[in-house]
Amino acid sequence: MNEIRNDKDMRSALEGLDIPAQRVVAARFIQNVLPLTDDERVTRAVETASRGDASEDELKAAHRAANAAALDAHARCGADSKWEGQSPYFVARAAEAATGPHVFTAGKSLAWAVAMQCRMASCCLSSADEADNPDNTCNTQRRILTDYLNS
Amino acid sequence: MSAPSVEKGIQFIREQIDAPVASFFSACVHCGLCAEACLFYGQTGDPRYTPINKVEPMRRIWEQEYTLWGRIKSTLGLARKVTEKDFEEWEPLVYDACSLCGRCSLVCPVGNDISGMIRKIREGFSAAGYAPEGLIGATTRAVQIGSPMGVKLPAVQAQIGHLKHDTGLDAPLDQKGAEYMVLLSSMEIMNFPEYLEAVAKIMKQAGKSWTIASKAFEATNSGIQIGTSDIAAELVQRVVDAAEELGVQTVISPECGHAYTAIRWEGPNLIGRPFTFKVKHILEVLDEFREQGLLKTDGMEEAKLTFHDPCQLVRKGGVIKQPRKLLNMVASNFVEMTDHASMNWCCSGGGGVSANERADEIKFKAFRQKKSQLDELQVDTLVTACANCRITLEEGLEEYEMDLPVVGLTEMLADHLVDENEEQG
Repeated sequence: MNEIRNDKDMRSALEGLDIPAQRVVAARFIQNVLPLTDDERVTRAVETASRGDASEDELKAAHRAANAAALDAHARCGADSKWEGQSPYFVARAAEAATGPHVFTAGKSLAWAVAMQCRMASCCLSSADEADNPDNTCNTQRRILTDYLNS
Repeated sequence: MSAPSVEKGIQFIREQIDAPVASFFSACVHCGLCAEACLFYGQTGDPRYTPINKVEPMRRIWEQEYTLWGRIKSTLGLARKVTEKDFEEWEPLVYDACSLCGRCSLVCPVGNDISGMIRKIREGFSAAGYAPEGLIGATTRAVQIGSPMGVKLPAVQAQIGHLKHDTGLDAPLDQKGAEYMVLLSSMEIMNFPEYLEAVAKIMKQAGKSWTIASKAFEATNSGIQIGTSDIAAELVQRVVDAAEELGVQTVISPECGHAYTAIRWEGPNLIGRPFTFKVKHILEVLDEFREQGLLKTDGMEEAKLTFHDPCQLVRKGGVIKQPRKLLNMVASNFVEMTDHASMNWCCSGGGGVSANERADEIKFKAFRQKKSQLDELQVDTLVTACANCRITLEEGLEEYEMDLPVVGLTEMLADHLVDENEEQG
């Protein structure tokens, strides 16, 4: 039984997965924070990533849609913005990463990049102290990955 | 402060006409090179967007009030006075169709700082009440809240909490005696929080002490963009007060082009005295770390990538070699755009254009210049070092259906740092 206990294990396990598997896990990470957005484009992009067998054309279309959703949700330069209202943007960024081409050769795996965006989506709704909550997004992601690896 | 009025606007423009401005108007040879250098003119072909034409109301005031021939024309009733209609007509030229990128100034054969004059004429338009709603709102929030986007300290604290918990990295607040004081732009806080993590990671590896000032974490300066020096000075003063109170040696301007110009180049003049600390752009600091051997990286980007030079860094600040040296550490397939470094084309969203919703149409037209540069290269990734450029580029790429990821250089570099310490879970 594999159990992911910390981020070091999580990064390492994610890097060991092939890209389609990373997309599946990434989609599960996003599903955990999906209620934070009501953008249908994001929901559909996550569905595409979650299938694992999506074609390149399907992924490309999903990626474009998620990118458009992220740009629509971003805080415009100089516009009155609320940090606590920024979750939809980060969820869309996560969906964009989950469906995007994997161009980086170092530093980040696709699913890790998604995990970080999902955590930021949750961070918008929490205060600095709430990061220690055992049910936070971070621990949920470790459980999701543990379940995936043991399935 | 009195209410905005056309009379006040004319007075403010008059006050901006100093010896350099007078000599610029006298020296203009009407060659048209500034038009060729302007992406707003180049992509529309509209002669109203010729840079020198954007300061025509200022030229008329100068001619009518400060030249013999102009005074004679005025006496004979042959001069056309600047009126409210002129303010209405020129407001979109001054704010929507100029990103203060400075390319016109660079190519002017007689050395006229046309971009600088547009910055100056904005003082008059702002005082007359002829400025875009978006910039007025941003400036009001900057003064009242401390951020043009209304970002408050709890948002920064939440990100610091997230950073500590998820990565074990620290971003110390208000640490007296730290070597560096890091500024953030609201755009980074709201849209690219990866920047803060990247800085924390780099500072840790470099072994440098750093801090964020709770009283002055914001780098952007709306006073510069709208053209109100009093407000610009007040915003600079907040940073100066915080830096001096904390006793830092260097203030780091973030990946935000105009913020760097505001604090580094206009700052001391705005507050009327030299700073007691140094101001550097984050790329300048990172390149110093590189020179000192403090950055240990691992792996190379194999993707074909290019770098979009933020105008304020290259044309106003001369930060040209630093990003290329840094890219050289982590990119094996880096290619330059045809026009790059000091001749780079603007993303089309600088100088307050991206904060001005009314300017979206012309911004996207102007973006075609960048599109043609990118079409020529066919790269996999676009790297830049300005949060505003980054979003503007992404919006332009989406508008023209181009699939190209845009990443920040600081973040890319941090992704490649050798992780010397075990991560905390």
